[in-house]
Amino acid sequence: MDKVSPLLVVDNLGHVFSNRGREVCVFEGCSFEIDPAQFVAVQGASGSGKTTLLLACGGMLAPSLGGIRFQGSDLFSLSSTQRTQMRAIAIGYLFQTLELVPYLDLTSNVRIATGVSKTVANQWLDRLGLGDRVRSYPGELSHGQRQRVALARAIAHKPALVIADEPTGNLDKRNSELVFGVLREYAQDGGAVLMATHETSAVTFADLVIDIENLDLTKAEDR
Amino acid sequence: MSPIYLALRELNYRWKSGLVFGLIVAAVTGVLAYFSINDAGFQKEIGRNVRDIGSNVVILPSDVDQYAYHLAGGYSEITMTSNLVSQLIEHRASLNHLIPMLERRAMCATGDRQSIGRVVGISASIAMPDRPKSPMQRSISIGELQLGSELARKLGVARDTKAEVTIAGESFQVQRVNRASGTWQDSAAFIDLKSAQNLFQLPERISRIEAIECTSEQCEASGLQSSVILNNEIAKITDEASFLRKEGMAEARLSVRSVSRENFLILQNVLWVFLALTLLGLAMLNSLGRKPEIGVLQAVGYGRWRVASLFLVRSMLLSATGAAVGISVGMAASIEQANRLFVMTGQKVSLDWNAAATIGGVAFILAVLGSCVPALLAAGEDPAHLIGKDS
Repeated sequence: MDKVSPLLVVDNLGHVFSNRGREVCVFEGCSFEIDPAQFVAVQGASGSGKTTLLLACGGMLAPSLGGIRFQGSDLFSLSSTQRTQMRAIAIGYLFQTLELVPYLDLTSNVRIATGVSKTVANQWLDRLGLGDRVRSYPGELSHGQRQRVALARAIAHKPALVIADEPTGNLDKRNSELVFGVLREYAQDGGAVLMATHETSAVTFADLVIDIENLDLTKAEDR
Repeated sequence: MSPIYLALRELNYRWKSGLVFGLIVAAVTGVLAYFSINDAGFQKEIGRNVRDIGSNVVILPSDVDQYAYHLAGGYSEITMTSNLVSQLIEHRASLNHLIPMLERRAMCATGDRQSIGRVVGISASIAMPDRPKSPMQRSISIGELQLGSELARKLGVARDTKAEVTIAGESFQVQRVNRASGTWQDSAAFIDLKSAQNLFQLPERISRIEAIECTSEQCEASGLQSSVILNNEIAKITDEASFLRKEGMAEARLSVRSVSRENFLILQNVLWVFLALTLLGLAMLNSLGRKPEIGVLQAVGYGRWRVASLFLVRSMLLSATGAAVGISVGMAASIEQANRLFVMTGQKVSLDWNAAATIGGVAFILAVLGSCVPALLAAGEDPAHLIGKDS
């Protein structure tokens, strides 16, 4: 059987930033591939560079070292406009800080993702247990509810890759299971998921687990 | 989702910050509009007051000995042709409000009283064709006469009483007794110029021309003094006349006008700078304070210009509304105040649409620049720098 072309290829990636005139290396030598319909979990302690890795994979932070190819294109050889267009169509991002737009109701918050109709936005909100709050504003919701809205926004335009940064942080067990369930289903339906998480339970259903601290890759079949 | 929809939603959500922005635009544009109208009214009023100070240039026959002229209290019996007035007009001399005069000392009599008076034939002030102004001196009707206060006292003519004064056998009805001016005019009788020329059998002759110099533009352009410019001009027109500049009065006129103009110019510049800084500052604060939002919009696929357009729409709406309100209120208040403050010229003060358009336009451009430039710069950064945090 022919091997599927990888959706995302991370090649020898590293990132260095300057802190008070001192260069700090967040991580280096990180390489992996993500295929369509694959669920990848990134694990590591706080400060190990999970968010930096995810931001780079989402085309939102130019890495200091190495390269990233997404859908066959070198992500950071593209112009800023081309990268923005690629993000609009093919990448969904769930920020750790959620970053919902405070002046838009939940439907509109989901609809700011490219090409999402009102019906689709409300279907996703309903699917995530927020069907009765579609007219509410982010400020009227709990953290867990806001996290689910952010997930709906990341996923509603059916991107090829969903990147989720700690999507279950501060969620109770029931809501965590709901979020993981949605992401798992998304991967099963053909979309790739790259998720940073502290939760060890997530690794049980991940196809690939990346330990960012030790640069160790564990495939599901090897567990 | 359209930028207009997003901008309106944002304005609805952050209505207090929008209101403050709009009010500040209204306040600053209003103050600017107020002062631009007020300045026009003030300049008109200053012009009127300065005009009332009187002439600052006297053109005399060249034969007049100026020492003897001043010794006699500014009086000479030497005359020149009245045609000089039309020559000055024809050559567009840097003068305005030309008042030709013919004067003689003559016996003035009323009833049983008589006294020597300085009888002055005077014409209405003549404006240069390209410098039309309301007359500084109105004409005196033929057969009528205005009396200086001291001469009136000598002749026993009280204010507001009817009287007849005879000069060289001709009778004149007293039109009015002038208030004391503290000058030679208090001992003078003023009649129409033509009547004086007939009375003294000096047709087409005048003793002098009084006028106001209009040399400030040439002085600025050439760097020459006003007296040099006027001397040159008159020398080209005739050798029969020389001119006398009342230096103190001329300088006072220039000083009053320039001080008032400079004062308003400084005030206006300060207000412009204040408007610019306020609008730029407010618009920039709004854009910079919304960096995370810019990052999110970029993350979901909003390009640089689409992000900037949100800020553009917001600034356009607020600055246009604020400027419209501010300019309307500022102009209305200024006109209302001009009517109260400038009794004589207040009615002439009107809405200045050019000033309104300039103030509104500049406010609009500043608000747009102040919001769009930081938004465009922010949208040029990697979204991670606007929202991302290392874990």
